[in-house]
Amino acid sequence: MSAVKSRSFLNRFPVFYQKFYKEWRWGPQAPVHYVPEEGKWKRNPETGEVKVIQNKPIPLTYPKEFEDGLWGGEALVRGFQKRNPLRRRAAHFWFPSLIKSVLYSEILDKHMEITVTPRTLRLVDQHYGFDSYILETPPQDLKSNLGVKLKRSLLLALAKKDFLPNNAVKREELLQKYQKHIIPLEEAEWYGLTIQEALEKLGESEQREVKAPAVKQPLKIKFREEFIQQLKAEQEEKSAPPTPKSSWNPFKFNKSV
Amino acid sequence: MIRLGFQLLGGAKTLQPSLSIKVEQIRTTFVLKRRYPPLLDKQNRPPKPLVTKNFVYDEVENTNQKKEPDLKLILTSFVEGVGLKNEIVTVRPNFGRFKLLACGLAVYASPENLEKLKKDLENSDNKVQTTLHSSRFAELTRRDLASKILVVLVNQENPWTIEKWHIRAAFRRTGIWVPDNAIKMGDKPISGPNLELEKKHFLVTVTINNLETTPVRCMIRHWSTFPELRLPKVDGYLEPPYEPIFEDEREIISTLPLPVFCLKKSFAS
Repeated sequence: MSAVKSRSFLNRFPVFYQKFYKEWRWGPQAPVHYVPEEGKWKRNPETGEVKVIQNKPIPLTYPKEFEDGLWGGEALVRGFQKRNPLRRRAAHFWFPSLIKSVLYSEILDKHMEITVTPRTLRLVDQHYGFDSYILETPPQDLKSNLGVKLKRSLLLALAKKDFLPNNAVKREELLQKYQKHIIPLEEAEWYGLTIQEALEKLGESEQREVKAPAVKQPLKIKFREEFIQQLKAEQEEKSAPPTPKSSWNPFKFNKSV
Repeated sequence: MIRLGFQLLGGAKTLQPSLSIKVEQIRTTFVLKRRYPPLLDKQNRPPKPLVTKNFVYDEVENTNQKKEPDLKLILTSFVEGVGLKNEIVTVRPNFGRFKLLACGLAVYASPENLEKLKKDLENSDNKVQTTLHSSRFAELTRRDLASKILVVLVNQENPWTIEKWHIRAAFRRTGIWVPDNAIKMGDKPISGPNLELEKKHFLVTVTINNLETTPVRCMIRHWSTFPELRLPKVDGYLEPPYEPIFEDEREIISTLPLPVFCLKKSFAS
């Protein structure tokens, strides 16, 4: 239900932000904690009965520490263990193992201390580098706030082409290397924003479109001002000083008339 | 476990477990499987919700307990004990990540990097490498020899002059096989028996793989075949101060690194 609601207001955003947000929030994640079955149907070898294969992912829990790390698709699994067939099931949590590790980004030219799992380190090796890992992984697998923000900063740097200001040769090399990840600047500016940040950005852009903010004033103010001006005009007319009489009075000397 | 889990979710700031028991369970990652699979969804209908029974999991595999495969890297500079520059090496993953990649001593052996390396090698002269270092262990060997003190045993009765074969035999006594052409003696001859030379140092030069050279300290000790004539035993004769035979060698002898046992002693005291 919440998804439907948020989708309805998502329509106000640019198309590329909608696409990113849908991927990030509701996109299918890579299977980490389970092995998906392959194929569409399977046959029971004994009875010959055919059944559809439906892979339902194991629900994961994301604690708040998750947002500040790169867990490589791993998360907390909450479930039960059936240790004895005659005993009641026992609640059990499966935790990923977390390590603080230093990762180096070529584009940003920075060493970063990040909480990771061994799986993340393995993924970085498989992608031949931290930047390639971040750029090639879809947002639903990075998932965390930090991961998406890192990807945003990398995409922005690639779009602006202003990274490594002191080393032009290496910059050209990296631009060539990450050529397929370069997107237009406008899209990069919208990438990786949370819904709140996006709303703020949307508000700014909408305000910029309407140059003068339309202020709705009640008509009575306008009429009052008109009336006051009218009154002032009348008063001026009334209090207008009489035409000055000249010292010379033509009737002064012919009283006799 | 439940208490621990709730602590974690309910605002505990770190993932460090407050309980010492069952810590190992937390430090691992798992591949799980449902013991009771959920019911199938119908077509054109909303999916059926999961019930509590569907949350009973069995562990299929623990990924973290598997041995990680080795990393393949290209070295960007000479690394002692690992390899020469532009060499493709296979190392353990954590060593590669933190000691080589993080320090900028190596890059991943990706297809692009391999191609680049191939082009670079075609363009540049390959012999530059070998003029700097003969092998990946040569530098380690050189440093090991430089910190050694070689005890040259000489006879107390018969006359002698120090020659190459004396040095070779002394090396052999410490477990190092050095050919004669790798040893270079000093200009001035040393001859005896002369008890003034006892426990005094002189230098020889050893060449490794016809490239790396290092001076090695040698110490003269007199020895007799007759037990009654032998000099009395002394403790700690390998420790400094070191007295040279020739005064011009004093500076080099003092600048060479101390033997490992001396370093350990100085740390302890």
